Amino acid sequence: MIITRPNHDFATKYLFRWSQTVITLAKKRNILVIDLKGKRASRVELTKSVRKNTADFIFINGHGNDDLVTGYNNQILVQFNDNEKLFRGRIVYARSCRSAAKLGKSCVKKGTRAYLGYTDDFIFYSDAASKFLGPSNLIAKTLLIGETAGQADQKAKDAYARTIQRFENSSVSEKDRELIPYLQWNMEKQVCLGNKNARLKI
Amino acid sequence: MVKISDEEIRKMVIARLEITPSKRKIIIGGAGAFTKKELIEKIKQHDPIGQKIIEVHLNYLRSFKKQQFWG
Repeated sequence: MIITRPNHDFATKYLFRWSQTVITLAKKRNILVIDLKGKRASRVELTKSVRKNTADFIFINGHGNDDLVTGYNNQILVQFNDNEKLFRGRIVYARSCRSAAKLGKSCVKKGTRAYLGYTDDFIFYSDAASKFLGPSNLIAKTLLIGETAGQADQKAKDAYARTIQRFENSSVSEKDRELIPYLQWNMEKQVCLGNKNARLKI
Repeated sequence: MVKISDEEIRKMVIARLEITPSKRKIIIGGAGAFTKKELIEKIKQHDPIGQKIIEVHLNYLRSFKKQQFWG
């Protein structure tokens, strides 16, 4: 697994911390982890790591847009019509806003086996991060235990759905209930592009 | 069918945000982290972030119309 974990702002610090549990699982399963954390979440480091290693799962954390994903200090890592071929033959999970709208589709056309990501902004509450980043982590964790990209997508969505259902119960606090529209948003904007039957070669 | 104006929608979303604890922060992708006060201001200013929050809430309300039930 190659993972990028910038930590240069409020949002990426959360992704940085929450990714640790995914790294721990990978190591527990004897999967080599190339952890491009902090300033190492750069285009040069990512390119070098992908070219030198046969890691078939690339986990991108950071900001993004319809046509790109970024790393440390929002440096562009992969961009539409530029270097999508970097992801050829791999399964990618981009925990970045919007990139599945355009970049993900192009990556799949150019050989990415499966691209899991979001077609719009990923939104979460800082004091309820587990409700959002927990299901999000399930995508990576499901892949790491050998299940398919489609199963990873579905497991995360099921986790969101269970929380939404629980919070729609009238006995729940207002503090929990107000999360519902945002949980639903992230769930609906999450997609699995490419081969849904793709799984890691582990 | 009754048409709801943009202004009424804004008021509705602001009312929903008003019940948010003051110190809670919502992180919206690369745009940053916002308190309820900041988000309400952005909605009133017709800011893109404000528009995004409205879109999230409208999406949720539409799910009732589509009769989406979980479980």
